[in-house]
Amino acid sequence: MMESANKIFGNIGRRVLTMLQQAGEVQKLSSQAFYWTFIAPFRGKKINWTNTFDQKVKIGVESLPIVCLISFFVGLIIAMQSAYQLKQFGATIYVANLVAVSLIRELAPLLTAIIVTGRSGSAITAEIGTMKVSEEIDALKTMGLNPVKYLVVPRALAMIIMLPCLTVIADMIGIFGGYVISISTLSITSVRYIDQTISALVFTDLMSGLVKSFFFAIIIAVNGCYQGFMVSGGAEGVGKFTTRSVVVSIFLIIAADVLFTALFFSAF
Amino acid sequence: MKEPIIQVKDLVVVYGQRTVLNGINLDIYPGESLVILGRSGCGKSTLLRHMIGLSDPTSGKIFIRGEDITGMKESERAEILKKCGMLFQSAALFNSMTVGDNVAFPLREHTNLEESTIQIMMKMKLELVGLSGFDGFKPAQLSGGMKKRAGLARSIAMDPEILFCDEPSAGLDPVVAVGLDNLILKMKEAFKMTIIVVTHELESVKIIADRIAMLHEGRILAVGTLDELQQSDDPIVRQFLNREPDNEEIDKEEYLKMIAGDS
Repeated sequence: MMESANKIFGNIGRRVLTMLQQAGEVQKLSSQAFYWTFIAPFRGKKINWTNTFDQKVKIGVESLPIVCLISFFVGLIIAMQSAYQLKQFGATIYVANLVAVSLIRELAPLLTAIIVTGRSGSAITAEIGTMKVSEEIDALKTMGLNPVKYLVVPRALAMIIMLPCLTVIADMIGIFGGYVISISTLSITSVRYIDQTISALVFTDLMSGLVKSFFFAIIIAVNGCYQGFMVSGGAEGVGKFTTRSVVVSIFLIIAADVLFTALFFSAF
Repeated sequence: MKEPIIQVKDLVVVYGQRTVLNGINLDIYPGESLVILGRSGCGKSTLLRHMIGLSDPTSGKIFIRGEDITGMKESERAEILKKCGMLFQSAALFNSMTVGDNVAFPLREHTNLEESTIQIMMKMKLELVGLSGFDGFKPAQLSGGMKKRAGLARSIAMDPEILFCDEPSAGLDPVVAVGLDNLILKMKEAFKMTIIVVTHELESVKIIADRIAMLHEGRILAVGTLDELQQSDDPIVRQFLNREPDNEEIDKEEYLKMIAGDS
C-alpha cells in the first residue's frame, strides 16, 4: 500500500519537476532571444539580416501558395455552410458578415499559424536538431558564437514579421472565397457583397486577429527552436522532437487562442 | 619551467549517478602537443569538452592563460575561445554552407576584414590542408577524410594558439589517417600552436605526441612521453600500450544466470 502510494506520488513529483525544469529552459531561451533581438543591437551587436531574409523567404514567401489555397477553400466552406442556415430566414446577404468576421477574427490567424507550424515550425526543429546531432551547435560555441543569436533570432524575427503578413493575405483570399460562392450561387451582386463586408467589419476585428498571429508566431518560433536544441539521440531523436514540436505548438496555439478570444470577447 | 597555457584543477564531472571524471589535474604547456589517451568511454572526450568550455563541470576549475573559464560570463569566454580552434570527431562542418564559406565563417563573424581579404585567407587555409579548389563544394560532397581536413582548415582560420582535436583519425583509412596526423604536426610546427588531441589510436600517438596523459575510468593514470609510459609498470598502461585484450574469465554459473534471467 505504502509502496504504491510512494510510487504514484514519486511519479507525479518527477513529472512536475521535469515540467518546471522545461519551463525554466523555455524561459531562459526566450529571454536570451529577446536580449539578442531587441537589446544587443543597441550595444553594437548586429542582427544577421542576411540570415533573417533567407528565413523570411522560407517561412513567408514559400508558404504563400498553400496558405492562399487553404484560406480560399475555407472561405468557400464558410460561405456555403452559413448560407445553408441563413437561407431559412431569407437572410443570405449576412453570409458576407459571417465570412468576413469569422475569418478575420478567428480562422485566418489560426489556420495560417497551424499551416506555418506544419511547414516551418517542424523545419526549424529539424534543422536545429540536425545541427545539434552533427555537433554543428558545439562548433558554433567553440568559435565563440552564441547559437541563440545565430540560429534563433533570425528565425524568430522572420516568424514574427511574416506570420501576420500571411494572416492578412489569408484574410483577403478567404473573403474572396466567400465572395465567389455568394455571387455565383446565392445571387448576391458584387457591389452588395463588398458593401456588406465593409460594413460588417470594425478595426478591432483586424487588430484582434493580428495580435493573435503575433503571439502565435512567438509560440511557433520559440517552441520550434527549443525542441531543436533538446534533440539528442541521432536521426531518431530529430524525428521524435520534430513531431513533438508540431504537436506542442498546435496545442499551445489553440490554448492561446482560447485565452485571447475570451479576452477580446469580454473587452470589445 | 614555463607557465602552463591550460591548467585543469580537480575537475569532477558527474552525469546523473555516474562520475565521468573524478578529480583530474593536468598542466599543458605552450607549444607542446599533448595526447589524451584512453579506452572508449573513459571520459577523454568529456575532458576535452570541458577544456574548451562546452560544458560546465560539477566542480573544479579550468584555466586558459591563467583565466578561469568555468565561472566566466559567456561574452568573456567567447573572447578566449576566439584564440582556440576545435576539430570535431565528425568535422561538424555547417552542412548548409559551402566548404569555402565554412572556413571563411569565423573570419566573417569575428573580424572586420574586407571580403577580398577573407577570400584570400580562406584559400590559403584550404591550400594548407590540401583542399584548394574545393571551396565551392558542399560538405556532403566530400569524403570523410576531406571533411576532416576542411574542419581542420576551419578550426585554424582564426590562427588559434590552441588547437583541440577530438579523435582526428577515427573512421579514416590508415593512409588518410596518417596524412591527417602529419598535417596536425605540420600545423604545430608552422604556427607554434599548442595541440591537445584525444585519441585511442596508438599509431597517431607515435606521430603527434610530445607528452601523453593516460586516462582510465575518470582518472589520470600517468603523464609522460611515450618512452616514459612504455617503462611504466602500471598494468593498465602496459595493457593499453601492448594492445592486450581484457581477460574475460567467464564464470559458467554467472553466464547461465545471465542468459536465463534471474529465475
